[in-house]
Amino acid sequence: MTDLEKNEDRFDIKVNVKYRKRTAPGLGPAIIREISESKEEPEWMLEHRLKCLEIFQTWHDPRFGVDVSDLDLGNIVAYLRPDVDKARSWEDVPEEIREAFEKLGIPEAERKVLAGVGAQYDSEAVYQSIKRELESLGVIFLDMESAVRQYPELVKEYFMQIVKPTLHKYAALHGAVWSGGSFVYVPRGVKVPLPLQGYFMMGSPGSGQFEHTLIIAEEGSEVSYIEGCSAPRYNVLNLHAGMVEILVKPGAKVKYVTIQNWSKNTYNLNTKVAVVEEDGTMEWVSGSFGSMKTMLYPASILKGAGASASFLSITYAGKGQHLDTGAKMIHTAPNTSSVVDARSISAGGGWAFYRGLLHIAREARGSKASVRCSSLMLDNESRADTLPIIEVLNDKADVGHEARIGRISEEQIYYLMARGLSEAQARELIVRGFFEPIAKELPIEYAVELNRLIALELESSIG
Amino acid sequence: MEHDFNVETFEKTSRYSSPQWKAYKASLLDEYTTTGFPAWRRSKLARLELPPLEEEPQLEIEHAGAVSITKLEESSEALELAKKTEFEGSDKKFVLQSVVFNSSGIFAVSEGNDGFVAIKVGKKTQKSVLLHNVFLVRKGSRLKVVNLLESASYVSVLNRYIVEEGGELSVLNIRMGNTFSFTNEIYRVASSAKVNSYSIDKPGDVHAPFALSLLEGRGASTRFNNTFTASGSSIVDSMYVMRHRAAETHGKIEGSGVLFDSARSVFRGNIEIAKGSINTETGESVNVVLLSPQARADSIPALFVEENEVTASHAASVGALNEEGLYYLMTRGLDENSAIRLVVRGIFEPTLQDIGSEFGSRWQEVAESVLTGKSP
Repeated sequence: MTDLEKNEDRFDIKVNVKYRKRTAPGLGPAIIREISESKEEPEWMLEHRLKCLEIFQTWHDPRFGVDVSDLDLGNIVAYLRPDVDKARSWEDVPEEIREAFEKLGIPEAERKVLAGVGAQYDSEAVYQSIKRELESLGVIFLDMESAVRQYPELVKEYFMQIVKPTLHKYAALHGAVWSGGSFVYVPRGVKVPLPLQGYFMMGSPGSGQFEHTLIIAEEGSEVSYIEGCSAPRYNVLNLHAGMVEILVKPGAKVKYVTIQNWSKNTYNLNTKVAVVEEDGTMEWVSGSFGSMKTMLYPASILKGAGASASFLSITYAGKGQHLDTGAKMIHTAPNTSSVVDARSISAGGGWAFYRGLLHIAREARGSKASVRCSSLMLDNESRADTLPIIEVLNDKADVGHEARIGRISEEQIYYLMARGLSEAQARELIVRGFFEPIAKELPIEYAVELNRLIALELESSIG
Repeated sequence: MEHDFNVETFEKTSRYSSPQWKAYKASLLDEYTTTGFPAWRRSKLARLELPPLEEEPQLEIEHAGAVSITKLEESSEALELAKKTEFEGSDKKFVLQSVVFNSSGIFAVSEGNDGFVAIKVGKKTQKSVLLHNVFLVRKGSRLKVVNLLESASYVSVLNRYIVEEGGELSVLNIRMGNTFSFTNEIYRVASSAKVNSYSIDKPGDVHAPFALSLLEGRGASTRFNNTFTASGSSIVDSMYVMRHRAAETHGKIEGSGVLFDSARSVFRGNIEIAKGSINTETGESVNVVLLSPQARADSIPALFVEENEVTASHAASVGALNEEGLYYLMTRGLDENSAIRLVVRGIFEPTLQDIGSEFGSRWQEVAESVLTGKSP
């Protein structure tokens, strides 16, 4: 994996940014011990954190993708320290975020949690009934800290085994300072009847920044998981380096849905990897709207014969945003299949970059894969780049790729205006049509929020 | 690499150069010696060995008016043009190498509507070929160029084409059986000028072609058509760049190839559209067929777009031969090898037809023998 991660080939990279090596002052073993102690972790987790810290300190920044040279890791320690009073007031939350909450119709208490100024969101009442139902099925759905304490052996077996801390600098940082996130364990043959929402697991310090999600779907089981929400999330520390590890065992099926709307001061340097065993199915559905800069390449490693994966994504890069994302599909077993449908919109000077990898190994005979990238540019201030790397190492694979970059044509607008729509409504309708295939994969309440969000983004970019 | 060209190599290869040409080359010698060889990830250059250079390789040139580039003198238009090198290419090291250590090359100018240049070089007798050629297509004129590089142990070539307003240029590159070859081509295309460039590639060991079209004037157009076949453990590691810098420019990158044994191809196509290049139409398509379980095809198409009033697309496919087609042919009495050969011939056919109509049947036959020379 390390080799695949480093797209440092002579032509694979166009962005030529000078990076400097930085480590976070004060981020040493002492603070790591403090975090671990406050979470009452077993010794192995402390050791893991310390090992990750060592790796982090030897790593350089990525040599491709977004420029992170302005990312200030200096205040990370203050943020991590568990006994520090992080109380801030509602007035500290930027005006635009508060406005967005208003327009999206987010309830008062929830707004405060999302903005990091409220007490823990009182989700307990809603969650209790779900919890009982899950328990009866033998499903474990816990916040990550509790899982480490309650199921140490189970967690230890899988924790950061799929994504090693040596993968890249921010994976190592994550391993050292992770906090919060969810642990999902679905026993053999169990089909979880409702989507699990990571939303209920928010609340522990730093959980918004370095959350760790680990999903184990045993043989023949099925589960859907929803991460994030469409409301903007604001944090003083402007780095998000979360991690998602998913193990799809033989014949199991996992669907992972993300709606990412970090506030527009955030560096979103996230890592997501799924390993799919024989005849397993992994489905990624992803909507990215927020953050200032994002580097995220969800990977599916199809290691069992007949395994399959799909990746549907929509990225909206507005003013001041540089979103560098894409799927990695690694076929290492025979008769595996993958489908990528990545759509992006850039507007108001935003920059959407699709960077993907499709790798068909020598052993992956009889595999099928397709990659489709579409970009919609709403103006000529914005940028849309596409870089899908395709590597095919055997003669019994079937691989197709297509990409298209375009704009909303005047004719489409005039046609809709002739039908009585205003220009803004016409544009919004066309953009929604572009999003449609992704939106329909979302639970209804998210689809509704997504539509509101699009309207909001278009309003601010077109004016 | 232990051995690199040095000041002695420079003196040797400059023996027959004009003082002005030698001085120009000398001004870049330091930069060459302080620049390292690249460490490419996809083509391993560890095996690369530089051969001893010859004082003046024998070029076989079909063109009455071509001037030897090494004899250029002060204040000539040719020298001034030759000096304006962009230094872009697969790697600066190889571009510098062609410029500093060439002991041969031509400067050719289009003549009216039927200019034709053919440069044939290589063959078994020639160990190394380092060339720097410059072609000028004058306003409204037409030029056809054929570059045949064959069976050399080492090739480092820089070809620069300047196509003035309304000019038309057709290029046919045939590069086969060269152990190591690094070819860099830069096309500077003015308004309403048109470039049609074909490359037929069959590597000996490592072949890394690079071509860049700078579409600088309104309505400029370029088509890159690359057809390749590779066998054994050879690799063809190519890059085509279409850089749209003006309105109403047209670009097309086409690649198709067939791989045998444990051969490998890397096909990169970059389409770059600068802001302001409105109504540009551009696209890329590549199709590679693998005929062995050990073959490998990488495809890296890239679109970099800063202007929204454009049409840009790319498409790629990699796979096996259509089995139904093969079985059909076999039920018609062909054995498997003949059936495969026929299908492969079908993949190359459209390009061969185009070459025939632009360069005549003589060159179509040469291209065809390169592509279909190896029986599966």
